[in-house]
Amino acid sequence: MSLDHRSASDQLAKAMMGLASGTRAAADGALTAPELVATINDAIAAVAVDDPVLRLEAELDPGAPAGVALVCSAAPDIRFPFARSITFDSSRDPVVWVRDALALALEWPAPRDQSIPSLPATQGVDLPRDSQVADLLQRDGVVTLVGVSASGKTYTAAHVATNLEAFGWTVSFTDIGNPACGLDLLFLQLILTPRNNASKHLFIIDNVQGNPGLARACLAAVSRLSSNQPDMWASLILTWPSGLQIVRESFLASRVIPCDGDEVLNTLTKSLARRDDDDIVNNIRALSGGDALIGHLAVDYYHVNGSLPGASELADVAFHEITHDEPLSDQAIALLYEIAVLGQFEVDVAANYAARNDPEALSELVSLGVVRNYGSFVTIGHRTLAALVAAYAGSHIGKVAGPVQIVVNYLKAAGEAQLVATLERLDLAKLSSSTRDQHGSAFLANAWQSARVLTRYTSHQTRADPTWGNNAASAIFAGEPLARFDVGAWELIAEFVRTSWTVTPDCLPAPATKLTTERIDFDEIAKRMAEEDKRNTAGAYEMTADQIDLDRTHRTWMLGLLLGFEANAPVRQSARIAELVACASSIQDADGWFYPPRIPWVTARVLLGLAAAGESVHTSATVKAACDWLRTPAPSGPSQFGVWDSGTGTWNTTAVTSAMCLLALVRCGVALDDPTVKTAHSFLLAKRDAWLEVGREMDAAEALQVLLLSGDNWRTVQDDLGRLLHWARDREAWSTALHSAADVQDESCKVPQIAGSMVRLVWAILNTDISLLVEGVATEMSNRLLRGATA
Amino acid sequence: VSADTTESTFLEQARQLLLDHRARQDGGDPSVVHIPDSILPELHRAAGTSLKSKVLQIIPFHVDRWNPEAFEHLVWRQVATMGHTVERLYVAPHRGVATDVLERQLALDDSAGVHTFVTFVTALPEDIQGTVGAGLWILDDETVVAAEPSTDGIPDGWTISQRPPDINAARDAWNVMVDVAEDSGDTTAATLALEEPLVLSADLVCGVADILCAGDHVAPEGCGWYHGTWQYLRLLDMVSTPTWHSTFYLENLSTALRAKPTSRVLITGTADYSMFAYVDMAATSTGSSPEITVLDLCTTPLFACRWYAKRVGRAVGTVSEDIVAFGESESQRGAWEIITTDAFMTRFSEEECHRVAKLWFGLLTPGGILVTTIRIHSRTPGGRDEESAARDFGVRAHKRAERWRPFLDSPPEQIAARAEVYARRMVSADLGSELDVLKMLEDVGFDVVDKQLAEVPGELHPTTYLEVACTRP
Repeated sequence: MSLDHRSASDQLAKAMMGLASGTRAAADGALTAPELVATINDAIAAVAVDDPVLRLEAELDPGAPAGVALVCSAAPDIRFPFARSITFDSSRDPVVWVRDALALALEWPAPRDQSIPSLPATQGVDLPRDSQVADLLQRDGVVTLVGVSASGKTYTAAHVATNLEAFGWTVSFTDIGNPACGLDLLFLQLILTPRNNASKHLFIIDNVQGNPGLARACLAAVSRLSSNQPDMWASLILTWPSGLQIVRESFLASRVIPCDGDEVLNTLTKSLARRDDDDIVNNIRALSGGDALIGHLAVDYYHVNGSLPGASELADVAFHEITHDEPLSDQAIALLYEIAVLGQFEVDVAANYAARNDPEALSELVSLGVVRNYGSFVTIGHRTLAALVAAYAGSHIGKVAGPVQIVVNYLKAAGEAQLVATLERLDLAKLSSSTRDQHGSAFLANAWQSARVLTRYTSHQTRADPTWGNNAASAIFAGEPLARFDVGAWELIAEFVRTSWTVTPDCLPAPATKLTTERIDFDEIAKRMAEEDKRNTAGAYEMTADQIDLDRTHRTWMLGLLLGFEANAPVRQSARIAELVACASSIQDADGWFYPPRIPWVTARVLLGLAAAGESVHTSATVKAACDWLRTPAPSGPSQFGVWDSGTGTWNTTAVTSAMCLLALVRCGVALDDPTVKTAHSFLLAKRDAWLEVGREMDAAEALQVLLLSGDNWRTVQDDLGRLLHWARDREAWSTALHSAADVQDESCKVPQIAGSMVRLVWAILNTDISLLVEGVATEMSNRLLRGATA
Repeated sequence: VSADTTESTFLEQARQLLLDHRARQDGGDPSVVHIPDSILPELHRAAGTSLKSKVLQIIPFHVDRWNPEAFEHLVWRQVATMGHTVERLYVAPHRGVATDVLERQLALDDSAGVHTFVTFVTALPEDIQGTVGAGLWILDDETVVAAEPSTDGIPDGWTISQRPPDINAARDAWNVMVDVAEDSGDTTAATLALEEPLVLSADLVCGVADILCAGDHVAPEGCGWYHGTWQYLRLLDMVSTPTWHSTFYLENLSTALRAKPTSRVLITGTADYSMFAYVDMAATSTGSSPEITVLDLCTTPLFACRWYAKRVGRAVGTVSEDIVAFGESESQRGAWEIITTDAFMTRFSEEECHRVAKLWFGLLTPGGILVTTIRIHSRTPGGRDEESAARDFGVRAHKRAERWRPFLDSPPEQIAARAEVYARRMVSADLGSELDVLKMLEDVGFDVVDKQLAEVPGELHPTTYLEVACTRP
């Protein structure tokens, strides 16, 4: 079974091109945006399925003047734009415009070809669970298959799809882990796939764990369709155990069928068992280690040769299976090795990367069907198959780069998005549960998983309440990890933040209508300052607690937060950032501080925002003046040998204030060998026991960030980071996430702030030490494939 | 400004510091209380008094300052006799340290109805080693008392928390540690771990290396950086030793010794007494009486072997000589039933290696067996450059050595510096694939009787070794 979507979209594109040409001739000139909307809708009507539920249409995009959006509507309440809005440019040739528009809407980021992967194991015997799954789909409309890689999930899905197609069902297959996959793809398939309205359509949604953000959106949409018209839709969802929670968010009642490679092996080896060849069956089990694909190859090998294969024979079989016994040039084998190595890490390879040295070798592999080409990516297929092919190819091309180096080189070239996608797909469960961690790769695996858990909590909380209890600071801190890992949730926060705070270039940001609740923190801060003033017999602050303008303090602090928020946006709004930067310049005191000078962490916060926006001591007079002031020794300035008192009594410790000030200085480009920076760094190390105290998680998060930013090796703080991640992952820590400062007597944004810091820290560590994590994963794989290697 | 005024101002400032400190200690999270270590006895008393039903305690066993009759032990024994559940888990640095004191403690606890477990630092998962710090109690599953982190194992203070995340974390730590711990009833039956004396010998060997090391195959110009560091790195489990191939060595050596209990065993090249300890253990488990000789160019590892031999009461012969000269000596040809050595071949170039294999063959009597391991470079999945891997090695050594600080003379900083030198200087020759190595042994005339690849943690990267046993026909 294969659903080739590209032919359908090509058909649509041709129809629209023809229509656009005709319209151009008729109009004899440029089209207006409404005319183009009508033109595109005519074209859609000519080719799309007349479906009572799903409709594709072009409409004017209210968010972009003179823009046209392709929108999918699904009764009664699903509407979403396809990949991006298209801005109509009346000065351009309408034919070219329509073509570009289609390229953007339908082919972005790449042409897609989604079909169920062709696995050797998909031919052959039915599993007992196959008929159970088909029955449940007909009865309940949704089933979830849960199992680790190569446990036979896709095997079952392919069988079930084939069987149900025989009953007139239509089937669409969506691999969430596919880098070219999007929600638009799923629905475009549906819109363009002829269906018998009397029968059901089956969504097969694979690799839910591969892209949690997309999986959530996709499952939510499918779930709504199914609940509106249960007789028309059914869903078969495939996921590793780590993705089950995401499935439950949309399909709470889904029947879960655990998949175990052993079930596939049992079925495959039945014929052997009938020959009372128990040893062979047991040996195949041991050899495969629960991997259905290896088991399948081993059984086939045994049938042909009468003996069990070793690792090298398995690799040989796998290689010849995918090359169809066609001879390959040395260059093609070398390239195949590289693609296979990446494939075993679940990395799909950008075609232009694969072709960078030898385009002909890539053409050879594609034309022989050795690698599949979908859009701008190439792949071998299942990761087990890739591992075996890599083993074979690697031993036939002499000296080669090590697998870890190949993967790391690719990830560095491919950029952040690919790194996230790869990390999402790596099976880190075994590595992270390892009790022996010689080099630290298990720690990194754990840290990454913790960071993902924190992001999930943050996403979950954001979707439940994007205002975080009307707390703009909490929402902004929560936005930081979401900007990278869940843009949909980030946009919910952006909507709240941007409507609740107004920005103008020449004065402080202000609440749009009503105050947001982080303002209550400043009332608590005022009390702590007053207590401090009472205790302070050695020398009073110039500005006592009752002289501080709390609103001004709050708004100045929010300026820093808003700067950071906008600077980290997935798509920056340059004008808003420029206004905030201008605002910072206009409100700065002549001495360099941001109000009030008694509280240096407010200046540090604004500096952090400016640094995020790209300003530094080298480029900005505002930043330079503020950094100079922070470094000015007491009594003229706030620094006492690189130590900054909070000015807010017991609300903030000296350690966390110093950490924040140091962080701001370093982020703004003050040199690490600056005397103030050096003494501040030493102070933090000297106070390590204090900021590691239970209850001082915020201090620890800030201190760890600045230590790592100052060049300390993460291993030196590994235990502290581990403890903090453990704390932040505990759901109980989140129970106060929406409480006000008055209730918890602590900072109201503590939990999202720490979560954000932790995710940032882990991400920074992984970016610099990704090779170590890949090394750990490679070792796990090597262990798996070593069995019988020298047999 | 007069001197009186200065003094007065500073006194005021000092008082202010104390007041601020106290205010911050008191003014933080209301679910958390910090107290100084100096009132620990009062804390024991208060906790014992307020306990409702059950306490779980993780307690580091500090050999040098342990008194089974100390106040804190008496309190909890009394609590147990009052009918409350008291479970204690003692964490000792390694087996065999002050066993008499620990056994006395366990006996007293047992008599009072305290349920005890014992575990060892090296048995704990690495992340837990850092977590438990200097002690942890869970009272009635609702309060955690945790020693505050410190670098020397002596807590500066204690944190009492009722925050659910802290309770959950403590409970997780307890469960993991109990999983790897032994019920106290089993401790006396447990055999000594081979690594046990390391903590006693590492400083000694390091000191001796400065005097004795004059050069060997690894470092002809002087091998003190290698032999002096080796035992620390073994203690920290950071270098390739027979321990990483424990089953392989014990099985093959035991089989050979069972076949001929009075075998002449030759260890050709060793960094310390580890290989000798394996032969000794195989001999003990099979009840055999082999004649064991250790050959090495440098006298430091020979000294270590004699130290260990005396400790376990087994005779050992030591020969300080080059393997080539020794192997070509007529008197030694065909004189040995068993030759064993760990990861020795990769100390030589490919050509030299072939010669060494021939020497081994010549040294063995017909039917004799060679038992060894060889690193297979081509299978190393390393991805980090050597420079950063070496730097990491030093940092890891520092981190691990912190946990041994109370038990070693060398401070972690010194061990880390030595480790980094080791990582930069140690060279291991690439002898090709496992097939190449096996072919070389077979070309010399050996019959390979046991072989497998083993993935081991590795020094700078995860590493694959070929474990091979082969006989002279």
